[in-house]
Parts: sequence; C-alpha cells; structure tokens
Amino acid sequence: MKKVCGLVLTTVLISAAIARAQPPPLPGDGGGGDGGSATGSGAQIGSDAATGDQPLTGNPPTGPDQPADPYANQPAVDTPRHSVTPRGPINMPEVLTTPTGWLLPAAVIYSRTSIDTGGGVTSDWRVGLGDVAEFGLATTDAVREKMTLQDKQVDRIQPYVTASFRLGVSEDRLFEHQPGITLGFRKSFERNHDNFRTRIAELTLVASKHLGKNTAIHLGGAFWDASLAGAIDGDPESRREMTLHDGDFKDQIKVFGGIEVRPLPRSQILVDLGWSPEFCYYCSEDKDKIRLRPTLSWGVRYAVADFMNLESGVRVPDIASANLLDAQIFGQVTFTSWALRRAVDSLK
Amino acid sequence: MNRLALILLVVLGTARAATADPVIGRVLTAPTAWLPEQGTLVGTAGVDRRGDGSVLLAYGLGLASIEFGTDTDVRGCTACDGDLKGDALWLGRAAFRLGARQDAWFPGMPAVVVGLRNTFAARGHKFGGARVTDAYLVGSRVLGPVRLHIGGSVTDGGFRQVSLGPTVRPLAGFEWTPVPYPKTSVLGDVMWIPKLELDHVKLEWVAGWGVRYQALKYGSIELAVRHRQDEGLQESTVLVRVNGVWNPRRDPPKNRIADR
Repeated sequence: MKKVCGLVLTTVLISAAIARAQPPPLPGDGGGGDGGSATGSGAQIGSDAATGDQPLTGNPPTGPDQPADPYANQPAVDTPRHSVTPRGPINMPEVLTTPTGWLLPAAVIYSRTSIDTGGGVTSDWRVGLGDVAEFGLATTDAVREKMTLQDKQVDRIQPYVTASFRLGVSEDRLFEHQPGITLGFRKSFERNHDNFRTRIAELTLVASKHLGKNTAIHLGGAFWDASLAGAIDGDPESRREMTLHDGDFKDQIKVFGGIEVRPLPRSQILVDLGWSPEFCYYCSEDKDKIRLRPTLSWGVRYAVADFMNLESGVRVPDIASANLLDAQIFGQVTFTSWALRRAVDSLK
Repeated sequence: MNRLALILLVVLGTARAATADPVIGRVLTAPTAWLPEQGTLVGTAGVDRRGDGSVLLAYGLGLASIEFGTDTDVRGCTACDGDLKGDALWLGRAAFRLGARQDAWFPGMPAVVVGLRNTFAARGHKFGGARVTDAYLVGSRVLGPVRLHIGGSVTDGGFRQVSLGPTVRPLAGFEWTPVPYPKTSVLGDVMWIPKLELDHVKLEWVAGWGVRYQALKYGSIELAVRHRQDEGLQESTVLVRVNGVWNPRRDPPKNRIADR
C-alpha cells in the first residue's frame, strides 16, 4: 500500500513539475474553442499537410476552417521583464539632514550609511510605496545631551532608532510647475540613556522644486515634540516627565530648507539647515531641558554609479553657538535598488 | 601702491593657468586650493627626524575632496617651562574641501577652496579629548613658474573643558618650479597651529621650506625643514614625505622605459 502511495505521489509530483497551462487561443485564428467544433481537427495533427515545410516549432498558418494547434509554441510576445521599469538616478528623499519633497518611486529600496568624525554611525533604510508614500527605519545621531547649560561638550545619544512614514505627490503631478510635496512623520522608539528616558517626534511638510535642470530648492516646516523623563530636578528620589509641548507652542515649530546645485554632471553641491533636539538633564529651567538647535550642513554628492552616491561634507550641530570644535566631517554612501520593483513587475 | 595693484591684476589676468590644476592639497603645512580630480586618490606619508609624521589619503569628488588620516602637527606640553618643544600628538584628522578651479568663473580667477579640517579619535594621551578644528579659505594661482597660495584660517582647539576659541590667522605658501628643472619645486609656507599647554591652548606659527621632486608621473618625494615658534633652531625638524596620485578612470601611466 505504501509502495503504491509513493508511486502515486511521485507521479503526481513529476507531472506537476512539468505541467504547463494550456495557452489561450489567439484571437481570430479559430482558437482552441472553435477547434473542437471544426471538422477533421484530429486528422490535421501530425499530417504532412499540416507540417509541410513549416518548422516543427512555431504556430503553422491556419485557415478559417483549420483549428489552431493549442500546444504549438506561441510566437514570442514582446514583454521584456528587466527593461520596462524605469531605472537609474532618482530624486533623493533627503538633502543632507533634512527631508525633501520627493518620494522614492514605488518599490525602490534606499539605504544610507554614514560615519563622521564625532564617532557617529548612522543607517537609514527606506522603501517607496506606490509612488505616493514611503516607509523607513533609521538610526540617527542627531539627538544630543548635556548635563548643565554651561557644559561645553555636548554628547550624542546613539543609536537613536526612528521610524518614518511619508506621503505626498511628485513634482508636476497635479498641475504644471507644482512642486513635489510630502507630509512626513518621524517618531523615535523610547531611548533610555543614563537613567533618562527620552523620545522625539517630528511632523514635517516640505515642498521641493527643480529650477532648471541643475538646481533645486527645498522649503518646509516642522512641528516637533519630545519628552524627557527621569530625575531631572537633581533629586534621585524625585522622577518626573516633561515634554516639549508643555512649553510655548511656537517653540515646537521650525522652518527648514535646503538647496542643491549641480555644476558638474556627476557632482552636486548641497546645503541645508535643519533642527535637532538637545536634552539638558540638570538645567534649572524647564524651557532649557528640551531645546531645538539649528544644524547647518554643506557638502557634495558624487554619483559613482546610477545606484550609488558618495556624499561628504561638514555638519555643524549647533550653528547658533558658533562652536567650531563641534563641527563634524561626515562621509556617507547611499544605494538605491530597483530589484524589488523588477520583482514586483515580473509578477504582474 | 595703486600701480602695484594694477600690475598685480594684469599679471594675474594674463598668467597662463596650467591645463589642469595640481592635485596636492597642501604645500608643507599650509593648505592649497588644488583639488584632486573626480575619482582621484592622493596618498601622502611622511616621517621626521623625531619619528613623528603623517599619513593622509584624499579622494576627489569633482567639486570637493575629502581627506582622512593622521598627523602630528599639533603639539602639547605638560611641563612647558623646561621643554618648550612639547610632545607630538598623533591625532586622527579629516578634512572636507569645497572649491573651484582656476579660471572656472572668469579668466584669471585663482583656484579657491573653503575647507574644514578637524580631529577625531583624539583620545588616549595626556590631553584627554584633544580636538582641533581649522576652517580656512585659500586661493591659489599659477603665475609662470610660481604657484602662490594666500588665505586665512579660523582655528579653534581644546581639551577637556579648556578651549582656545575661534582665532583668525593668515596663511601663505609658494611653490617655485625653476624652468631648467621642471621636475623640481622649491616650497615654502607659514601657518598657525594650536599648541596645547597645561591649562590653556595657544597658537604657534610653523614655517617650512623644502624641495619636492617629481620622480614619477604619479609620485613625488619631498625633503623639508620646519621651524616652530617656541623652538630654537636646533629643534627644527627635517622631514621626508612621499606623495602618490592614482586615478583608476584614467589610462595607467605608460611604461617609462617604453616611452624612451
């Protein structure tokens, strides 16, 4: 009984492996469906008349009264799988530190890995969703901490993991000269560092517009929130939580922007101004415990290949304090991949 | 004075720029406005008679370049009364330089670079958390056999809670290639560099002079002397340094024997 079962199973598996669906009939050639009602269909198969000088492979010409051979190879249909999707450089979702109004194309994967002279290592992974949205996970080293307001040295809290979701419309989609617009939300996971628990969240609305072929500008606004919990009054027995939205509403709103100029075909100059949260654990006043500090960055993006960019530049985390020693030189590499897009397209 | 300025302008305007800018990003200590070509890697390694030196790699990004490496330009002394020369501090250095080449915007324009160089991995010696940052603007121009470099820097340095504060100083340098010796250049420069002392940081000038010999199409060797402000003549250092340039996108240098 077992032998019979094994034989049946083997037969079924082998048959399934080599089985092919019957191709649909070509319109206007009689079709397989008509073939059943056509006269003498069985006599045509394998007959000399049917083969003659025709190649054994390929669909022989059929007259109106001749049924098509449904098992004959169909002529190749021009459906290339690997070249129909757009490929090549894309508009980047970030200038250097600030978001742009451009979204990743659908199913395009983007990654960015960065190191800097301050010891920061960050990584950012995103995927485009349907040409109208984008999801990402990242680590950032932009969130900083210090003990007192007088501290000259400000340390970074890293890794600080964030998740982001952005949606929007691409440039010129709705009407001519419409800038690319995205509404983005970024939120961190809770971070416990030195017994202080912190979180950040940022809602951004940004517009990006190309001015000619080689210049683009980005302008946006951000609505920030952050929380700090721990012994922030200096008493280890007294722990409390405070948030940025406890203070003045206008302290949460910041304007950011950037510019991209391409003087050489493969090189771009990038400048942007953004904002980063800074926590001060033992500052006496609550308004100093969570502050947003302006970050100025400038640098160059060099397109090594369509799928790879090298970016390098200078980032000054708190440009308002004019602390030259705080400046960091960073290098980062970005990759974009259309592989997932091609895989998705091939399933259609 | 006006006449002198006019002559200088005419000379600058009529001077024939080299077909391609040189690529070495500094004279001896002072930076130049030369940027490596896109995709070009420039390596420099040097050692002086005290065993100090530098290893630096620069990579051209078209409009800019990025540098990484280590050097001992910055010194520190904990007992500065008896030992003015101080100890060399090996500091990790990185620089980002953004600029334009000669004649890029108008004829006669010098090459211009805005650069920022700072330290990293500066832990583990007597000056905990030592850090130094230079931001500079420098212009370079080929004037016949001479390449002139003039600029200014804003320098800050510090360790622990001690810092200098941003301080502005000039910088200058030249490279002179005598016509009969096209492979040889005489170099000279001056620049101010931080010196870390027990409880404060100060700037000291460093002046250097020497010779660069372009031994190979892609390599050169330098022999130079550097003097520092607080050192006597006997403490001046003699250094030897080699430079190499490699661009994988260009044709490799031809076999020099075959050239003959």
